[in-house]
Order: sequence, then C-alpha cells, then structure tokens
Amino acid sequence: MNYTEMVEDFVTLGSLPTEQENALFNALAADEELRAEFKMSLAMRSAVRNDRAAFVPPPSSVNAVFARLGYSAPIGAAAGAGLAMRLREVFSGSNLAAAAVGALLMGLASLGFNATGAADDAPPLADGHAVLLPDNHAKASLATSAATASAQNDGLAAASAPARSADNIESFSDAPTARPTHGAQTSGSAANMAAAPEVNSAIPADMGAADQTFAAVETAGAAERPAGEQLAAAVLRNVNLSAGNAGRAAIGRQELQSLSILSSLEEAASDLKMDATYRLLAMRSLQQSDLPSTANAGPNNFAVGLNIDMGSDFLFVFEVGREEFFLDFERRTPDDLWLLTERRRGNILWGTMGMRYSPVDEGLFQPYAQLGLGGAAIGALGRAQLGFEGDLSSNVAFSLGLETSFLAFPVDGAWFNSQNIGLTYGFSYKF
Amino acid sequence: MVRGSRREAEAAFSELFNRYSSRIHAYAYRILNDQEAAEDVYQETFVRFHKALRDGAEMQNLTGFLFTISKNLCLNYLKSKKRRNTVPIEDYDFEVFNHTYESEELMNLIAMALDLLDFEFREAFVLREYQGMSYAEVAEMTGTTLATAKIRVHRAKQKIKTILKPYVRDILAI
Repeated sequence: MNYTEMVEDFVTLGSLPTEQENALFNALAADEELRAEFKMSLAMRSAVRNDRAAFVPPPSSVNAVFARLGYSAPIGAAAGAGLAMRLREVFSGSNLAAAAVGALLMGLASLGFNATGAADDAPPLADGHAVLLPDNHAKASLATSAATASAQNDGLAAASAPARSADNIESFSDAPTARPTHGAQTSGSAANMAAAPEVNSAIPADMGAADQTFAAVETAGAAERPAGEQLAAAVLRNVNLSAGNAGRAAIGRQELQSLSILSSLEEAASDLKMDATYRLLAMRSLQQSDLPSTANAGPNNFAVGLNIDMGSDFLFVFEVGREEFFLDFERRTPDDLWLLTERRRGNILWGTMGMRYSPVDEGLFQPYAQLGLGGAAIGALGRAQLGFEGDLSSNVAFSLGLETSFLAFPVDGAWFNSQNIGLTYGFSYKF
Repeated sequence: MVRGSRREAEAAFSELFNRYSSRIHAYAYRILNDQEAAEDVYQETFVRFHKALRDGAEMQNLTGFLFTISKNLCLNYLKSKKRRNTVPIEDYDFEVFNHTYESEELMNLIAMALDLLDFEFREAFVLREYQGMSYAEVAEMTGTTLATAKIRVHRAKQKIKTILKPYVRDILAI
C-alpha cells in the first residue's frame, strides 16, 4: 500500500494499523505534497458529506413518486430528510467541538464579569448575606406576624437560638416574616420574634447547592484553561506544519490528529451559520414591583448565547447567563414551630436551550420571537423574548427586545416561583 | 409485505422509500450530474421497485436491487443522450475563479470533475464516498473483483484531485 492509498484509508476509516499509521505520519512530516493531498482528501470528504443537493430529493420528486403509485405522499418525507441532514450537519462532531470552544470562551468571559460586578452588591445566596428587603417593608411583616403569635413561651428563643455574630443577626433578623406553625408553645414578644428567625442561619439546602454550582462552574472554567492553551499550541503546530516544516524528521501522532481536527473545524466554520450573542437584562420582578431595582444591574444581569441556523426561519438557541430574581418562599424551622416567610434577592446562574423564529435575515429590522427552557442554579427556568435585530455591519448586529423569565425553585420540598419582565439589549456576531 | 392490503402496502413502501430515498437520489444525481435527469431516474427507480415488489420478485439484497435498477436507468439515459464525451483531463480548460471557495463551491468543482470521469470510475467513487460502501460492496455492486473496485475508487479520487488541485490551492493553503 502506497502513501496515497494510506491517506485515503486514513481519511475514510479514521485510523490505520499502527505500523502503517506511523509510516504515514513520518511521510507526512517530510513530504509537502503528501500533506497537500491529505488536506485535499479531508476537504473532499467533507464536501461530499455535506452535499445537500445530492442527498435531499426535491419534494416535488417525492410527491411525484407517490402520485404515480396512487399513494398519498408521506407527510414531511422530503422535508424530514432535509431536516435530518441539516441536524446531522449542525450536530456533527466538528461543529459541536466548535460550539463547545465558543461556549467555553464566552462562559469564561462572563464569569469574569461576575467576579467584578457581584461582590459588593449581591453576594451569592449561600454566603449568608443575601440582599434583604428594605427595613420598613420587612418590619411591617414582622409586626404583623408578631401580632398573630401567642405570648406564652418567653424561653423558646433562648432555647432554640445559639449565639450568633451581630452581623449575621442584623442580616437576617429583619428578613423573615415568622408565624407559629401551630398554636402551642410559641413566643409572642417582638424581642423573641427578632430572635426566632435565628433558624435562618440554616441556609436551605437548595440555596446552598446553588452556590456550590457557582463554585463548580468556576472550578471547571479554571481547569479548562490549560486545555485551551494546549489547543492553541496544537493550532500553532499545525500552522507550522501547513507552512511546510520539511526539516522535521518525525512528527507526533497528536499533531497529525489535530491537523485533521483543525481542518474539520475550518470546514465547520465555513459550513455552519452561527451567531454569538451577548445581551444585558434590565428586568423587574413581577411580584414586587415596589422593590428597588436590581442592586447589581449592568454586566451581572446578562446572557451569552449561540444561535445555530437550522435553515428556513428557525435557529437553535443555547444561552447561559445570570439574572437577579426576587425569591419569596416559606419554610419551617427545624423544630417545626415556626413558618418563616423569607424574601431575598439572588443573582442566579441559568442556562436554556430553545428556538428562535426569525423570518427576516438582513436589514435594520429583523423581528424575532424566542423561547427557551432550561435550568437555573436553584431550580427550573423558562424565558420568552420578543424583539428585533438590526445589522450594523455584515457580521455585527444589535438587538433590542422585551423579555420575561419564570423561575421555579424548591425549598424544603415545596415549590415557589419568581417572574421577571423587562428589556434586553445587546449585540450579536455572525460567524 | 407490499402485497397485503392497500394500506399495508402503502405503509411498507413508504418505509422502504424513506430508507433509500436519499441514497438513490444521491447516486443518480452524482452519476448523471443533471438534476432533471436524476429526478427522472429517481422516480422511475422507485416505481419499478414497487412494481417488482408487487409482482413478487425475489430479492436477496434490497440495496443491491435498488441500485441495480438505478444504475441501469442511468446507463440508459447516458446512452440515449450520448452524453459521455470523455475529454482528456489535460485538455479541459476550467474557468478560473477568483473568489473564495466554500464547501458548496468545492462540491460543484467535484461534480464537474466527476463528470469528466468514465462511468466505471464515477460509479465506484459515488458508491464508496456517497453510499459509504466497503470495497467488497462496491465490487459486488459493480460486478468486479475486490482489487478492481479498489483501483477504480483510488483512480477516481486521484483524477478528481488532479483536476481540482489548481483551483482549490488557495482555500486549502497548499
């Protein structure tokens, strides 16, 4: 088997017997013509694989076959074939790799934003410093609760409340509205009510998990950085290889494989129609419109996404972001004596996937509707958006829209929800 | 299966049609390099296939049966149109494109190159690359030996590369 045959088999089968593979790699390192042939083979294979004109029969032909046989045409047979092929294209390994690299880079960038923007105004929930309601609001609730409590057991607070730092007591004492879960053995004085919410020191497990999620994301991001550097190094090696590094006597297997991957990525980049989006969210809570606006607006309420063209007017949309939600929930104290109403603001990490309908592709007014479903760090999330994009150049577009989000989250086995509505604005880059 | 009730026959045929539709179209389209002719062959292939099923033809190899029908129709078309005017590669003058090639354009170039190959080589290439057949399957489909099938596929690729080389040098940075 000569080298040309080896190249063909390697491109077709993806591997060769070890001895042949080593021989081929050595030959590729030393022979510029063979490298050119290798690249040509990859390009040909990619072109054939994406030959939509060949693989997608026209609907008229499909219908004609069935009409000639006196059958009714299978609904969406041709369209289905087209869609299936498009899906195969979009979700091919190389495209997914390209999308993953893009998402990773944007994720790292967005985590950087959060690190600088969130620290002062809205620490993560599990830090125990959740932003609280204005004093007058919380205290009014507290007073109401106090009035409803029976005044029988002055010793309860002392019995159930271990000492806390002044800072923590201040943080939590005004936040919850407490009321007895049943009539017996409850404390009734305002002083005791202030102490009773001490149980808030036990952060709900789900909220705690939320912070762990943030930490996990950041850790994962840090772990990826060396991999990114490795990829960059691999790319650089490929550039050298492509430029004809004929002086090298030997070449590593990884370098050749990365050459193949790089070529696939290049092909994917030319085939895939994809937008990267970045937008800010200016949202208000639907439950408490009298609350102050988000304490940490700006880059800490944002979404980054990838829109992948599915053909026709639809795009797959993958988004991740952070958004501040007003969290209003109830939970029982561990001793089951108090039902606490807690109100917090939390800046929640979320991610969704969904569809965008955008019937206009170019111009200054490209209306769209978008729906996404996914998860947040503390529960499930859905979002919907109506807006438009306008091209600023061939690659860059701005966007403006009306958006609403719905967060459902569990606390102690019960589900609560929070809804936001507001404006979103940003820009997108078309690859 | 297709000889049952009309409804069953229709469902069975639809299933087989869905399974082979894309492949037969790709075969005819790239063998003939003519959209209209390919659609005729594509339709006729399935009509004849249906007739064969209805008549109770014995089929050991469904894929082979379908591709044989399609191949015969393609050959008939090529003979009747006398389209096979093989031009020596070195005498063929391509238009020079000055813009950036994309995958679709590369595919068009490949299609042009395919059109210059003899039927045997073109068929071997299409069966191997488009249909993903092994060399043994290509040999079976084309009625040749394994060695001949390999040689045809390799030669077809080499010829296509030779034709394409001057025109894709820029985009491939080679």
